[in-house]
Amino acid sequence: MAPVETGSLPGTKLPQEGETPATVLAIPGTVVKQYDVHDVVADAIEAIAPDLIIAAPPDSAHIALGPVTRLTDIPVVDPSQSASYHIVDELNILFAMVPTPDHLPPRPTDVPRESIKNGGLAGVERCYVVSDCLELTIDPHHRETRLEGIDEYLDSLPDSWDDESIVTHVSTGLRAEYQTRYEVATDTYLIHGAGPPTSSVGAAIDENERPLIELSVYSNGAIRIETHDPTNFGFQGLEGIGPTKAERLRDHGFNSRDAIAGTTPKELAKIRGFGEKTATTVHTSATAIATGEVIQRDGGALPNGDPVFIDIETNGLNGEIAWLVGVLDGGSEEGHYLSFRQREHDDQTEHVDAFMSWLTGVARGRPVIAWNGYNFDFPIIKHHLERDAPEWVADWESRYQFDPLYYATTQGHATLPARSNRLEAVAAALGWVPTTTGIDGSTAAREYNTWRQTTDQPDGYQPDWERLEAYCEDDVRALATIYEALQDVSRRPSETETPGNRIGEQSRQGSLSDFS
Amino acid sequence: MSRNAPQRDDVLSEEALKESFPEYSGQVTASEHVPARDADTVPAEEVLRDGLADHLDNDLYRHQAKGLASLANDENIVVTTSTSSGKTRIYALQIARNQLDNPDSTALCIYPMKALTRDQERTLNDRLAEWDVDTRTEVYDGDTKQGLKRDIRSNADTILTNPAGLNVYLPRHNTDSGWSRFYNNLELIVVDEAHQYSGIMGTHVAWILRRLRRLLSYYNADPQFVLTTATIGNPAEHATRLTSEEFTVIDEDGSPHGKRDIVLWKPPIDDKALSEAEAYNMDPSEGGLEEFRISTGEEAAKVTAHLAVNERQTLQFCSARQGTEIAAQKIGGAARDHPRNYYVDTKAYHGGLGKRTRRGIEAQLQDGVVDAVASTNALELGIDIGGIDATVTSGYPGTRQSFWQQIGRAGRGQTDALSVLVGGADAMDSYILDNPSYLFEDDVEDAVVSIENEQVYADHLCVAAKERPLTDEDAGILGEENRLAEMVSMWQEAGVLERGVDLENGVHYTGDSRPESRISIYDTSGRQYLVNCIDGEIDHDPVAKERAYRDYHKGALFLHDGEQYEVVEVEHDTRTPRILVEERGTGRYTQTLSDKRISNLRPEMSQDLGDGYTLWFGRANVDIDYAQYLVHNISTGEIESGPHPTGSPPLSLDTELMWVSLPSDHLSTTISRLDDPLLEPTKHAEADTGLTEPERYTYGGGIHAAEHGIIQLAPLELMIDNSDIGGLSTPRHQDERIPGPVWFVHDGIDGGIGFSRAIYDNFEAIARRTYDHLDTCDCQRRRGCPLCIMSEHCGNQNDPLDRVVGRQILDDVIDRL
Repeated sequence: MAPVETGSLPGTKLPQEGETPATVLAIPGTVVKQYDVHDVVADAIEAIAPDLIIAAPPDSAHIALGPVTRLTDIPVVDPSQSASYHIVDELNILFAMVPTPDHLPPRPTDVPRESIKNGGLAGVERCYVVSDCLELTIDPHHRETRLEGIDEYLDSLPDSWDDESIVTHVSTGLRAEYQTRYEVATDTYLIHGAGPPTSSVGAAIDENERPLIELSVYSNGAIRIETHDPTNFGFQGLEGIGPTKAERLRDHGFNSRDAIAGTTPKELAKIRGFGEKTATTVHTSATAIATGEVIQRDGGALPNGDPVFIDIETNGLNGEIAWLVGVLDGGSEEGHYLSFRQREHDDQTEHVDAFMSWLTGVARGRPVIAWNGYNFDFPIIKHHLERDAPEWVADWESRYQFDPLYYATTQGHATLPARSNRLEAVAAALGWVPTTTGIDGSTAAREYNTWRQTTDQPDGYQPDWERLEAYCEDDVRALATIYEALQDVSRRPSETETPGNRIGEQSRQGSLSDFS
Repeated sequence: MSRNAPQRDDVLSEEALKESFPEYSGQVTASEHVPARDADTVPAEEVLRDGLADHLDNDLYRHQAKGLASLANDENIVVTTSTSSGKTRIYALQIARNQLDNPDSTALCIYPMKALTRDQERTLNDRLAEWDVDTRTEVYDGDTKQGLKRDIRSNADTILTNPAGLNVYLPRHNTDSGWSRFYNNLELIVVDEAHQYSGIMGTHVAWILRRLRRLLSYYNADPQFVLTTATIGNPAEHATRLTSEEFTVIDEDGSPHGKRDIVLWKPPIDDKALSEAEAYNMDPSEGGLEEFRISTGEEAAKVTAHLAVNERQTLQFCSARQGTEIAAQKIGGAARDHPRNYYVDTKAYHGGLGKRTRRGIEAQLQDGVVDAVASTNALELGIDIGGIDATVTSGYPGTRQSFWQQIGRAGRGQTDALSVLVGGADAMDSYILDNPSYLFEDDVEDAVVSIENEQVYADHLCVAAKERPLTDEDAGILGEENRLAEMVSMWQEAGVLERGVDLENGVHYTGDSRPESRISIYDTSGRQYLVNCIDGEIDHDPVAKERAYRDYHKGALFLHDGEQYEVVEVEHDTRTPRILVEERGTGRYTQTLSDKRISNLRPEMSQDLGDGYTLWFGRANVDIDYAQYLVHNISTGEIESGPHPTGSPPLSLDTELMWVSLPSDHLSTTISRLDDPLLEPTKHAEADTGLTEPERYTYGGGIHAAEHGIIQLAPLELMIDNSDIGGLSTPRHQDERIPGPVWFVHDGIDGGIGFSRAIYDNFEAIARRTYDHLDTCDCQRRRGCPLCIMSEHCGNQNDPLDRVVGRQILDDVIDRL
């Protein structure tokens, strides 16, 4: 029977404010086969700091036996091998890892104390049953999807475990971003994925990248997913280092990033296959991460003038509506946050009107800064204006638009201090601390979309706008933190007018977006 | 280039050739004399405004005028006139007209190959400059320098690209600056050599063009289409299938040419070798007398040498089975053996050569410096080589359109020209030499392309959703209403398209970024296999999984572009699957054996012919195990070793197919009518197919022959590559709906590509040709020969095969059509 959708999925809802989630790291066996466990997996575990590590297919047996368990004290379990339980006390969350549901005791509260890996069991708020039993197949020939294994799974599920207000069924055989509510007769089951992308589902899924899954699990059933590319970790995470060079570094006695940062490029260049350029790049990369600082490289000039930091929330990664334009006027700490938000479900003009009025008034002539702006924020704002407030397009286009991510990574003017290029990761490495938790871009988009979709209904959904705006404020402050670090290290150009300072040319340079 | 040689012979006509050819022994089996034709012209002023007409130094050919008139009338046109009939001029003038009316107007030109793109860039730039039109024409593809791209997007008036490029540029329409200007002003789309878009690539191109059209309506653009094709049987239909627009066909060629003789040439029997064999009382081999026929390559080289020695610049087209390098050597050798003492300068040309080498040869052809060039069909396409005196085609190129394109290369303006087709050693060549009217009839093959493949459709739908949210206004261009709704539903369930919304409100894409990068136009699954040469270069298109498993397994030996290669390693599981090959001249080739099962039949259409005979079309699961292969000697065809394991995983296809279902008692009724003796089962057949009784074995050979015949000869009617179709025949199939014997012809690509559907639609014509050929094949052997029913792709080593019973079975079916 095909899964049925009714209303929004609980997995996507907002967690309690301020709640620190339980973190689960799902590692597919193929990662352990393909990458050096001591290099990549160890570093990933250190960076992600999970409460629990779960082995995921394909080849999940590779995980629990040996290589990973020896790396860490964190519990490493393979649900497909045997039943085990893990409690997160602070959240009253129970993880029940089982090969099949018939391994479960009659009720969640019946879980034997001795089999719980840690602590006690006061009252269970939320249960996550984790197995590899369920898979999703997509069959374009019949234009349908099938949740494989669901019938046997539900047949063998003890009765008390079917309460959807307490239990979420997680399968490592399902893609981590996938979730659904499965209805059978009068019962509804919440199902969520925790595995790497599966192959043969078509162009929409990238099966090769980011197979490490980080799940942030909350007590009310909310789950956030972040996927990681193994080559972001360990020595392979350093710029210019692949598996061969990583091995050579180890052979030469370097066993940590700090060790690499501690030596000199000249020493590194002695290693076979390391030219001067590679040695410098690696050393810079290691130093940046080790010290948590941005490192300047050649060339590059930041824009003149007091920056205006922006971050937009949209109706999706491929959306075309910027329903919230968050603006930071000033520095990361004391700067003033302004929120230009859509108030009425059918009025997408008023808030961008206000934003542009402010930008062309108070903030006249100042460069606009956005992380990944060239690919995301800037084109979306432009199209939003073209559609809903076309009289502002010329002003927007003539404004200097600057993307520090592009500046650092694509143009190569600076080395960033984090393992990945995500805004939050880079800012956190520089010492930024967020005030909100449990929200990301997709969550914000879903909140907005649900609001719009249910506006006509009497009990239409009302998002917690303040919380979303606070999340947006977090991001612009993170952005400002990074920009300030770039400013600190860049060789400031002289105060005389430099080429590219004039408005016209600035805007042309600022709208560089050449990726194809 | 003067030499003190005896007066050269007149050779450029059938008579002259026969008279002058050394030891001529009746090789000419048929000929066609095409009279000279004057140009049919229209004064440029009648069609074009003065500003343009003044710049043209000659009048327009009638078809050019007609094309331009149709375009002026807001129609889309598909131009099917011959090579060098000036098709480019039509759309170059249209670009000029659009520019003069509106300097902001833009045009997009799509070509199947990068080489052609750059060639046409030169041509267009030259023409437009000649006509004093101020416009900028640029190539934008994977080879364009990164730093230039933004400038081109923002400022070029005409952009030239290829389909794979367009696939990834379309989704960036709103992130890369410049595209919106370009699309907003788009008034013309040119799709050149559109007949090349068939099979799986054609399906992808059809969807890319639909995505383009759909995006353009968002940009309020409604450009006209100009398609150019070679001569095909169904230009309007093909154009519509590719673009979902309506077209006016421009086909009456007004360009001039001189007198042209086309001669069909059958290599003679090598009497010396034959009498030696008879003297030694050697056993007749598998091929019978045919084995003693001089090879096509040898004979073609002799003809080319003869023409070149008589100072006629000659282009020899070689099929993939022969190397151009080998051919060039043979031509040189034949020239040395020729009684007329004359040095012949010969070059080999193929796509694997470096760009500079190729340009050099093209220039030498233009300047008349080289005497003979042995080439692959790379020189069929519009690259400018001036005119040559004669063409020799070594082995039928596979399609009539290819044949006529090659012929079209011969002749300089109004001078006489000669084209010789030297028959090759397979069923189609043999058929053509016996039935020359096939070549010279009016109708040519139909091009086949389909948009039915659901996997390809589903993937492009995701990319389209990323380009703009899907709405119900997209029904029609992005699939018929139900199909769109159901596929959107499926993707929503999978979490890849936005849930909780319907098409009325716009459905966004929520899958992983850059879905377009995971679409390969050579494959249905996005996992195309790249072909890399370990110690050199190989210019080989990527290969779909289905072909990789069958033809490119480890240990496979194959010919490509004139060179012999061995597959040394196949990487199936990596991020980009790869086939690693090494150049190796072993003198051998490999043939893959297969086990095949067809199950889960889902009929969609049928024709009940009565008496228990039914034609069906539908879908099924086809499971193929290409587990083993044999090694053959290239010259003799004999098996040298094997079977060896291929290492290929089994293939599971869900695809389209047609089948012919025969009455349940057909085996006994056919055998009872058989005048000839039953065949004795071979040991191999007993092990392979389990047909141990003579009656079942003989009948099995009959339907197997019918199956082979249909597959071998379908390309006579349809432009299909029969290495992308497969077959299966059996006296009994486990599906209860099939009462008796049956044979299947299926698409060899997962999801289907429209080939077996086309065979179903054209079955009668194909069956009749097959019957004729089985009836009249020179071999007259029971088990047939490579010229009628034996196939190099047969997974069962051509056993059992029975030409006589096969003919009977076809006759029974044809009687009821």
